[in-house]
Amino acid sequence: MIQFNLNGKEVEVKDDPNTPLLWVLRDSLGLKGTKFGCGKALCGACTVHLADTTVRSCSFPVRYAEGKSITTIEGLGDAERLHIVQAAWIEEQVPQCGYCQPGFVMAAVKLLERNPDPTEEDINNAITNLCRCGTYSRIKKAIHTAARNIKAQN
Amino acid sequence: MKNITVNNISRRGFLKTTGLATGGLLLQGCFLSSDKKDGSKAIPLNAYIRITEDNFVTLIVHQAEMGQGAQTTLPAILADELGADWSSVILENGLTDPAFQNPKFKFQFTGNAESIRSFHDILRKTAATARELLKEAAAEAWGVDVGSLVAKDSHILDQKNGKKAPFGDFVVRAGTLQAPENPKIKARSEWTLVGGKSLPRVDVPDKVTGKAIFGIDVALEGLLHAAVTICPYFGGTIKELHENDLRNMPGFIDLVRIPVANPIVAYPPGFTKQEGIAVVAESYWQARMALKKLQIVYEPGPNAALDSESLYSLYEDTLQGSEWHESLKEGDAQKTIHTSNDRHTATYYSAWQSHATMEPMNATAEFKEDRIEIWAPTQGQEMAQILLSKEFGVPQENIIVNRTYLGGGFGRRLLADYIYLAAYVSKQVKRPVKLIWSREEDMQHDYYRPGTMQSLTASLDTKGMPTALHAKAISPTILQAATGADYVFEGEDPSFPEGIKETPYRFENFLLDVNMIRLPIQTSVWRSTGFGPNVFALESFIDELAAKNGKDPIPFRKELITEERSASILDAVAEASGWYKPKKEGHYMGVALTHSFETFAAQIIELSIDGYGILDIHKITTAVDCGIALDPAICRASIESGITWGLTQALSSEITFKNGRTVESNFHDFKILTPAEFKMELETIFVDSGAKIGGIAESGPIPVAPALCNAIFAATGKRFRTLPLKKHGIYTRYASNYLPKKEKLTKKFAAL
Repeated sequence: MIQFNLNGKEVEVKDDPNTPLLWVLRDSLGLKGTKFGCGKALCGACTVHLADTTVRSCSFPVRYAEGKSITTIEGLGDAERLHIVQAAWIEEQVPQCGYCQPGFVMAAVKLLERNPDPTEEDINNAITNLCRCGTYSRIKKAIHTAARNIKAQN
Repeated sequence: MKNITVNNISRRGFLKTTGLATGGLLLQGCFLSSDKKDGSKAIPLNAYIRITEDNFVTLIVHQAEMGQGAQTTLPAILADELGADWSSVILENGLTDPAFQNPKFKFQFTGNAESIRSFHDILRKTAATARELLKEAAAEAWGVDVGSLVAKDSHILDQKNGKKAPFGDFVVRAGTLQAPENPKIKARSEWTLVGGKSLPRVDVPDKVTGKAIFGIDVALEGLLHAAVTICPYFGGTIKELHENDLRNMPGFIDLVRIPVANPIVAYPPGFTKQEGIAVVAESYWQARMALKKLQIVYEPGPNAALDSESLYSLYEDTLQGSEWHESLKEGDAQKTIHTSNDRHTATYYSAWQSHATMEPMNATAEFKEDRIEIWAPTQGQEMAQILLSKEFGVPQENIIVNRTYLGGGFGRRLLADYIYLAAYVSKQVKRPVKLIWSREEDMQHDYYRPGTMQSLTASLDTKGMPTALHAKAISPTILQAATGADYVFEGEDPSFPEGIKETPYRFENFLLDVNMIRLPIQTSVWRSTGFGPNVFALESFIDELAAKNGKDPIPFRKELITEERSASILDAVAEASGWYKPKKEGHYMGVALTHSFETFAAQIIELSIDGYGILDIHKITTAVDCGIALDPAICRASIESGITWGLTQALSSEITFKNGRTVESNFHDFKILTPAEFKMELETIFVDSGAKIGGIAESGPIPVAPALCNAIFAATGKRFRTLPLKKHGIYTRYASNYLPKKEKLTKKFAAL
């Protein structure tokens, strides 16, 4: 039995402790927003937050989540209460096929928490997810938009 | 704007996921409106439009949403013509229906940049018919002349007396009336939802909150999960199978051997069938772990020696050979070339490519004796019906194919091989099964865009203008997997001469010879299919001809083109990029022109390249004439998306072969462009010619490789005729930082 905090609630799972967190989230806990892309931590579609950092959950055994706090795209915000980054993503109409976008949003949220006003260079260094549709230019725009909106809020 | 609670995708109400859509638009999968809780019956006015008596207007989206914006623009056309209130329409993914078949191909599919250009007029006529029926019904009910009635905001309005009532009041009566044969279609000046303004995409809110349901997200009661492995050798077989303690693994349900794991609708001679093995378990990860226990010894089979080098030699040998199918002949190119004093020949090669959709292949199937239900991210719902019907002997009408969102399509999901696997396994275990491919399976068992070779020879007159062009193109089939036809036998696949058979240019003497080589590797359509490689060859070659006589590539092209639309986009792109102005120090430009999918596009790439081959792309300017850009933001996103696609295949991605199998297995060796490499300025201009609407989703990638190589030529004086450019040691600045040590950067361009 492994226990952790998921999107603000305590959860308990019976999966094999070596099961990647991704599949625990998707199949045992029913949160399908975190996506399977490569299984090798190469593409970032499965990015979630583990406390203060991001992890690529496809390559992160659930046993390491024991006692930790995990946030997924579902815990970030929903249609009624969008996270400021999700709102920027909508404002800039970022997604195309959309499959990789939850991972990008999660990575961008962490970047902005650490660095609320990132330069182009900071974004290029921090965001290493992959998108096959080529939404990169709007992703960068949306990160800048979110940064502006965060500043305006403070 | 309203927020309405919906069952996101639900036909029988047993999908677990529910979600909230913003923007007042309900997105539904295959929800039958008659199942609606309010009990009010939806009246179908045709295959695309249903309206309930309490005025819920449901529009059917018959083309797959795979990122190209079909789910927004297609119903917007319907709503526009119908006079429906866009903010309250219900959108529903269509199943299969004769009304959804592509009018040219008589077949229901999403691809070939067809959605708008083939359906805009059909959707307008369909919606106009429904609108006229509603007006007719209102005229009868009110006892007024139909001439004073208009449809607006899902209401019928009598302009004479200001009387207004919702569509729903008239829908029952409208459903009994004779449909008008030639309803009046709105003029462009009357369009309000498309043709100038950009709508917020209807899929975006769910895609940024994790609510959007892709194939991989489908959840059913009692669902089992399967992992699969397919023989990696082209034409290989399974020699030995050691189960080890597979059957004791947690969650294990069954092991299923699949005799043909890569089925297509009809097998041409020499088609390489591959055996596969699926392991079924309670959860996907359990299935993956159990599959790992399996020890499989393969017999590599007759193609064990196949590798990229021998394959490339085969193309070269074929080029030297004399077996050609004459695809097009105008005048006498061979004679003109033979008798000319000024000739130029160049040979080009575009590499093998994988689709590498971010969502790996997957499908969910429930097989019940004489009925199969599928949930899949598919471009080919009818293709799935045809294939499953043939393989399982189940009548096509008993095969229901529900379409989810697609995590990328790019042509891969036109085929139904991955859907068949889920159905096969479900049949064996007699329970609903979701079968998911690993990334490695996905990449090694793709139906690839084949490597193609083009050799072009021209003769030039004393002014340096071409008098004849003789093109030779070599490729395996592209369309065979989708159609089952043996094009090798017929001499020519309709897809692979695209872009070189019909060009924007006029050559008095023109000869196109093709040779379709037969290979044991499975191939199919891939975003920009035939056009990509052929236009790379042609547009590089045109640039070479211009350079040979010291001519500016743009005026040179303008002398050769035959119609005004190409000239006006060349002018537009030259103006916007500053082509004729002095350039910044070390900046060089290259241009390319294409006419594809009824759309004209011209592109200029501005770059710098250092002596080591490290590339900085500064700006990509594209001018597009697609007739009318119905939704400019979606069209722009589509072109920019195409630019990334085109750059990836021009610079870095490639599928190679060794020892009879595919080498690349994941994103570490099949390199797609990263955010850090995509930092150039993009400017995309739409030239509104008002002509017939052309395709947009496949036009973006096509000019990229030639414009890039032409710019590199302008910078270095070197021609690169084989892709990807990494083969020549040319990398983006970012990629050069991550090269393996053995690929030490060497000085390539002395003059820089």
